[in-house]
Amino acid sequence: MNDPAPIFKRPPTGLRRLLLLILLGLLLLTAGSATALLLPVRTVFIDLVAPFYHATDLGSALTELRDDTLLSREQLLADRARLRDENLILQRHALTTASLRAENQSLRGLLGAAELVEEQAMLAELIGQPPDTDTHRLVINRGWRDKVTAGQPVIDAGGIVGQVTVVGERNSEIILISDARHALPVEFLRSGIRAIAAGSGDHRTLRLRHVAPDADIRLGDLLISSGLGGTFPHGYPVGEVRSVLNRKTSPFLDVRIAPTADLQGSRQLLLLFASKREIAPLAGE
Amino acid sequence: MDDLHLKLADWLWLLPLGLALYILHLPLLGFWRADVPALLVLLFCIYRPRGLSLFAAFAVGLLQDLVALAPLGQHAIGLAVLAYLAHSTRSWTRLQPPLKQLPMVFAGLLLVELIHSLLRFGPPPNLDALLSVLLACLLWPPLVTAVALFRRRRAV
Repeated sequence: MNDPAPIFKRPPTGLRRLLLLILLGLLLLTAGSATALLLPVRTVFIDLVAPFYHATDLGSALTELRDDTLLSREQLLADRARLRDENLILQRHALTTASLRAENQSLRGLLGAAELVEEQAMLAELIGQPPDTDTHRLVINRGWRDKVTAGQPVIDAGGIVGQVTVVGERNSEIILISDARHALPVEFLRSGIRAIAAGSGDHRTLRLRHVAPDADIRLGDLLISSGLGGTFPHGYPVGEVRSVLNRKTSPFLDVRIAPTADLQGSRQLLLLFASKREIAPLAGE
Repeated sequence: MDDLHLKLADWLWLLPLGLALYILHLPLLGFWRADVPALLVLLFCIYRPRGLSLFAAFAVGLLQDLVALAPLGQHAIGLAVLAYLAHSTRSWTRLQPPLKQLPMVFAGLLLVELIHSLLRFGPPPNLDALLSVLLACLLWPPLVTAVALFRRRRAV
């Protein structure tokens, strides 16, 4: 005798398994983006994955080794002369900066500002970059052993690169300012207009959000971090205005920014540590 | 001893997958990166005697997510769907010569790219993504031929 047909038709086992896995994947995606539940997994894994990135970076290591060992005497002399010139220019800048800093300190004292935020920096080296072109993240060789904390700003010689998102024992993950999920408060150096620079998913472009059509913006204007929000310190270069479009379909300007930092090429990065110090009131106050 | 060999053989598929993850992360390849892990998952699902379970494909995807610093679940869902499609068409695909399998391989890998874009709420796959899918398709016939040669040698 045949079994009676089931009242409700069940999907085949494979399909049920697939649906279960898709549901599990979506739960993981939601938990990862909306909560910090998966952060411990990432924290452990960032140290496990670092040797893998070291191994895949053999090409760059070989290029560096070749550059270190096979340079001719003429090249070395030329490099030394160039570095000596650069050093002189930088020393002059350092002198100017020191006098400006002293002046700024005394002005802050006059204004009664309670504290001055100074940044200390620590050099970090890039270990690897994931292959996914949509993931604008890097792995660096500094972790909580070096007192790195989540949210810490990262810069290179050109300007702001990004901020730390996951901190392992010896390695950390940083998100670049060009990542589509990243945004930072900026201001125009020339006009002082404040805005939000959001990542576009393209390493060469940032976009300004909600800029009024009558804003005083010119091509080539330099944007610096405004310091609002407290994550990024004030005054570091972020980018230059590359294009300004006034679209009729949008109430805001479409402003595109070229980052000043080398987001794809920098191997040496600086982690900024903020240290607050009290300013002594001026004599005679 | 034979049991040990069988158990070891059960885990051998992890070696090429590890190698595929390594190749995927080589910085010298630039935008010409083929999704070799997805290609291998497809290959194992079709040509491994017992296939590759959906859970194993999902686990490979999770590993890929962790290594690529991507949101957990992004590659995992894509590879699970790919494994399901490969299982559904396994008996038909195995009867076809490698060149006739190419449209199915192309469709499968493109679907994985589309799933990634969808889960990222990003734009549809761009030209680079399409090129990497095509490059992966070019790798398919040599891989299938290598598997066939390997099995023939083992049979002898």
